[in-house]
Amino acid sequence: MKVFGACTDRMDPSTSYIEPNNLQSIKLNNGPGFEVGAATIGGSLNFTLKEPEVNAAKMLEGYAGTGFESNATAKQILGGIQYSRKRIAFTANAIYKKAENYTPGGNKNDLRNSFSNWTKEKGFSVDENARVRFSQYEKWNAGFGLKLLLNENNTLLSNLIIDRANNIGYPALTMDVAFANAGIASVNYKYFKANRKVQSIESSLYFNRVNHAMDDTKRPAEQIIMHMDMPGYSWTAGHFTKTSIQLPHQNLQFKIENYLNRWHAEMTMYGSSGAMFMLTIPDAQRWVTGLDVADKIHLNNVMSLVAGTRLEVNLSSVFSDAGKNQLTGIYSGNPNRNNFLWNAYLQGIFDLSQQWQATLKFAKASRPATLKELYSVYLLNRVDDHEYIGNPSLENEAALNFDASVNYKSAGVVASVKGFSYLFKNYIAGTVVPGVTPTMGATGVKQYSNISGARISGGEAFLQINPFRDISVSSVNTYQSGIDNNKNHLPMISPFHSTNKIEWAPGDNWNVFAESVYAAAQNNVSPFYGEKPTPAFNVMNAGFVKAFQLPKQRIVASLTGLNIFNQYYYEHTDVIKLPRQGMNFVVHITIYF
Amino acid sequence: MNDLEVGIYKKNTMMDYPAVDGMNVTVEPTMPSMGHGSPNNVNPVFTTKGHYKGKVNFTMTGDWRLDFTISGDGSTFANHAIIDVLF
Repeated sequence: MKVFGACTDRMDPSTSYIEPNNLQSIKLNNGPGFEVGAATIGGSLNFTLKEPEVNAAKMLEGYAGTGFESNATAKQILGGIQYSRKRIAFTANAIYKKAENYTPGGNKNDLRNSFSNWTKEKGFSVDENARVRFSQYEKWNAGFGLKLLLNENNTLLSNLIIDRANNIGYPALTMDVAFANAGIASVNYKYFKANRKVQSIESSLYFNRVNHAMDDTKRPAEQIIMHMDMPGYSWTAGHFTKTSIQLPHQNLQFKIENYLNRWHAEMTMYGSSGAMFMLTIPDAQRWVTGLDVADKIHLNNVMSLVAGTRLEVNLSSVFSDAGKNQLTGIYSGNPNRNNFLWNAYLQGIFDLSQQWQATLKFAKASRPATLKELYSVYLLNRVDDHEYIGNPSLENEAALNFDASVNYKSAGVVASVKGFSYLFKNYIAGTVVPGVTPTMGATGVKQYSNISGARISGGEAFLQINPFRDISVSSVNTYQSGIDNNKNHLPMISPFHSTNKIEWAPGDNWNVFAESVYAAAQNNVSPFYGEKPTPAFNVMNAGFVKAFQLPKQRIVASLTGLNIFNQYYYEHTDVIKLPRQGMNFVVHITIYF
Repeated sequence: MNDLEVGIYKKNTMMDYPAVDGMNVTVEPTMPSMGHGSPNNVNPVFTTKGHYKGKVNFTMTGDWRLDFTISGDGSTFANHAIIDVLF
């Protein structure tokens, strides 16, 4: 299923409408691939929802828990149940969370001295307790699943998630969110039979709708030029069918999908001479038909190949007369776009020995411009303080992607080294439009445009050793760099990161860990993309989990200290260098029955 | 984007307003309450009988000010002639 957020300022990534207790697993897909489910260059995040289990050991089981965080006095309560019979199963889960303003790391007096007063350059302010103003939130989320076993091989599954958030502070912007609501629903049919050519067929029909409204009424006068309302919605309806076919030494997968996404965002400003109205996303829609094919070929005991492609027809247009009229102000031609995209990849997997494995992947990737890149009407980006306008004549962004990895695994040691490189053509970024005055006092106006070329390359090294039976030490190190053809360093490139962790797990009921997260400084920034350097940081986390086994229940309690040396820090990719939480102790207690 | 058509007439007497052809007309729209203008406007050009056609880009509803300059034959007849519209 595809879910698209409704906010023009990226306040609501679609992931914000899912809670961990809705989920079975999360999978990150790099580059083009069968599971990615879109014409993309970077990849995608796949969320798998919890599935009810038919014919489970217990007819009724569940959990209930509560959590508290010292920083921001955040509270949460959560629970879930599963009811399971021979042919039918039902699950429900719910969570409620509420947090006050949080305190960044560093000395409180220094924070108050530096950030008591809001200025546009600093972008945020702190209160008398050195808490970041407008960083509170409140939300609840409920998930439901119903599974019907029609017969041994055929299953029906239905899912519903409702997510409602109120009064969400956005300290990096000069407005907050009054509400952000989502309803996400799907009906799925599954056929599965082992030892057959056609092993599985899965079909899904889905719909989701996101409603979102910004709120500047709580902000002090110096932060807002004038009061404005900015509501928006986005809905997506679609279906997919996929099948897996087992042949001698080959596994073939096919997936076909169609979906329609519609997005509307508007702005009403209340000036001295009355209300002023404009569409900021002028009723944009996208219809996508996609076909994915992947073939996994087992050549011999050493070598397997994965070859695949995605073909996509991608139609973008403006669906209302008001939207078309609005768009004529920035674009005089026909704004409708019909794109055909094809991505392809070939991966070799070499099982060199019991311990050693190597992979090589080569891909041709492309992505269409997003609706925001095509049709934005004066949308402010706080990172470079420019208003952005869309460009319906953008070319698809394309890249050649090369990936290689070497993995080692033996008793007590797991290690891997990966390298990747993307060579971009028609990289999409904002370029200053000279002579156009912005609508709301920003530095200037940028329009999305194609940069002829760019390159991103990097690597990752992972090592985990078990020097003693109960102790494991791990290290994850990542580095990447990006530069365009005009020798400008690309934006949103994380510097070198190193996460080193020691874990002690004596038996099933204890787990203790300590972790250091280090990020090097990022000085490879360019004024063209509006970025400034970010200093290095080192943050320490530590905690433990203890489980108590009762006759019929199991209680899991955890205490985690985050940023325990209370460092003032932010990631390079954080908007306006807003500091992250200082020292924070997190307590969770959950009872399973 | 909106079509803009202006008519230019000269007051000879109280009863006689002949059309004026062949002027150079520029127009600049601004929003006084917001302090900004808009891009991609097209200055009106002469069509017939004192009429001039161009385009003006009202990027949002609200109060707009159209600032006209009319010149021809080496002299300026109207400098910053203003029409305010509110919609």
